[in-house]
Amino acid sequence: MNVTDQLINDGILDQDQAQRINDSERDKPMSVHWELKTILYLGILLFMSGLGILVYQNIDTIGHTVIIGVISIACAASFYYGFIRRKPYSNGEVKYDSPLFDYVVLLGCLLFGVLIGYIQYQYMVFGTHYGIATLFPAALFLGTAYVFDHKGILSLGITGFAASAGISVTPMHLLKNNDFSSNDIIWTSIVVGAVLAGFSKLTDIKDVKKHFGFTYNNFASNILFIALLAGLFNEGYMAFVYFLLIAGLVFYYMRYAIAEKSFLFLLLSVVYGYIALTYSFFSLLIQIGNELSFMLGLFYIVASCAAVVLFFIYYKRILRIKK
Amino acid sequence: MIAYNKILLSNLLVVKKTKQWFSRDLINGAQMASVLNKYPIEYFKPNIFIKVGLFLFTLFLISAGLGLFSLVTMSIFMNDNSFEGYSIVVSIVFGGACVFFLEKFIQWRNWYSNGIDDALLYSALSFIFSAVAFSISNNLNDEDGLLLLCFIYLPFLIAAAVRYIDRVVTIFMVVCIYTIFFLLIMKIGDVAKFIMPFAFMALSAAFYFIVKKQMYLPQIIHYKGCLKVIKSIALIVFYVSGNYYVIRESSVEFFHLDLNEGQDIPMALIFYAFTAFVPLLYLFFGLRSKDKLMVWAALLLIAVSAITFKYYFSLGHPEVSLTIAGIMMIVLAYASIKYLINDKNGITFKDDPNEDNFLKTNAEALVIAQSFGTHAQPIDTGVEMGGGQFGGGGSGDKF
Repeated sequence: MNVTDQLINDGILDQDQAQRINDSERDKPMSVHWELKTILYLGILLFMSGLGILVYQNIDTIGHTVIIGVISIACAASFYYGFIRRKPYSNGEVKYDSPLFDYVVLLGCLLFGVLIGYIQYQYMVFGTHYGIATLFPAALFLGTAYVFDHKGILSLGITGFAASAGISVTPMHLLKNNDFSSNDIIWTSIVVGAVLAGFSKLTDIKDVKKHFGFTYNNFASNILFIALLAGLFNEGYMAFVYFLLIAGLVFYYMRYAIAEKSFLFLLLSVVYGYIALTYSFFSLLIQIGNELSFMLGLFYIVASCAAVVLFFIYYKRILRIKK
Repeated sequence: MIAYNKILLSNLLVVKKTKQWFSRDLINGAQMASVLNKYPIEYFKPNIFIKVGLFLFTLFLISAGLGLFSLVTMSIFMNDNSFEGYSIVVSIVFGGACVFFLEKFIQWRNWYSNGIDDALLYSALSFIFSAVAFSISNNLNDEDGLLLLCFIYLPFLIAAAVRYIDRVVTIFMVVCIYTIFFLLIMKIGDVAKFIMPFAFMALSAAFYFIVKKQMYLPQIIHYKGCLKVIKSIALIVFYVSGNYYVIRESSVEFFHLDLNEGQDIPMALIFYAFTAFVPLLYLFFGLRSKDKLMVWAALLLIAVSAITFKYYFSLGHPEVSLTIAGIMMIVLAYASIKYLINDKNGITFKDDPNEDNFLKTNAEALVIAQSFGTHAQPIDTGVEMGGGQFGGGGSGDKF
């Protein structure tokens, strides 16, 4: 039976209204909002890539000044467009109706990054201080993100900030590009992650752009957990300290997840915490190392998985969340 | 037929519809409230991320249980060369246990789509698969073995898809049917290579039209998701079975066609035309009938066609093609956005109000970080282009 007929039977809808709903269902336009935006975005991606290669190949014939000039003008034009259409800054979320606005501002930022990279490569304006050459655009991105309320540019700024400290935090490269067997990387990552999480917490308290919290904490939680796990795996006398730090972080992000209703963080803390616990348990078992320990290990996996499943089912009751 | 609580399923449908109407101001708050009262949907409905966690850890649990069980029983029951028999028995025991718990939990706890039931269902099907595969493993290596496997396994897939209205199982079911179809046609012999593309097109068209006809029947309203899956696969396979690249490469692979330099496959022109026009037809009909699935298929397949033509008619300048393709896409998207800012022929650029935006907005930021984000700076060498954006551009293999 049709839903509208059913509701008429229940006396919730009357005939006229049901008719209106059926008409509206039939005539409702199809939204191609995200499809067109995706095409636009992919177009910009392809265009930027193609242009990048073209410029790279023809540097000798075009000349540096021309390239720098063109990129600067395009960059300035994008930012000009952004600034004249800008809405006044607010600590809350600012929404732009124009679909193009976000992309033009993003383009301006990308061009600025290319420009700085180019100038640094060609003229070494920052000398061998590569960190500063990355930090400078990153700072501009972070500022732009706040001015134009743009999460994409914010994540560019965060990756730039982390890169200037020497680590890759882009989602796919987090594990691939970083050598987590070195203690320097681990400590740098912990500092970067803590700064990001702390800054997000601070802005949260001050009520500045609260909706940026997800982006900050998504980078921060992953980099922190992975760095701490790497510290745990590297063993040595610090392992216990790392274990405690992970436990603390699990606690922090569980509370964060519940406060923000952002359950990605609940999943992340449980998964990372489970890895840490399992690793520690098994290294203890190996140290004891008698015949029973293999059996005990298997029992541990069965019991712990069951425990996690039960936790996910009853987490509201376990964490005392009022519904 | 359906394992889940049917009242719950139909209440979910009613509430979903009315919520959409409420968000479009077609009904008022009081009406919404009385609908929620009249059609309660109380069941364990975890957030998507928790669902992922439940799914993963249930799978771990089942595998660990399997490990523990085998460790204990293997030494007792297995003789020297009865590994296959032992595996079959263990698979049946575990598959049966998964189905049992699945059924019982749905009954006791009114479970529906919470990650655990999916994990139990997929595990059960995997155990059944391994039981079937171990039973016929002697001739599994040749085509007859595969055909037999598909034939025996298909009823299980159909039963599972029907009973648990599962979309992933539906995908496997359709793939299984296509595989059987392919292997049967291969049996015909020499004519197979001429029939194959058209047979696949015919089967896909049959799937498409059957599903399209059934889609709005009230009896099978709960299967809409599964039917959509079948429809998407039918649309894509229909295109793929006439795609020039697929025809050419599969002729070489399966039918031992020898192509010399400059030679082309028979009826090449037809397949070129097919490759070029089918996605455009999809787009046209998809837009005309307001069928989003078809529009998505069209957009995907236009890209596939572009790459196909690029592969055979390359001018050797990928960077020029990238740039031009980029400009074309920007212009097209921009023009369409400007054109559709107000509704035209039932198509609009306005965002659907009743769709969940959280994943979309945040996912976009992550994609931007991934494609343009800065990689770590090399500390000592440092000849890389600063922002990494140039480096990103260089790796054209993404496209």
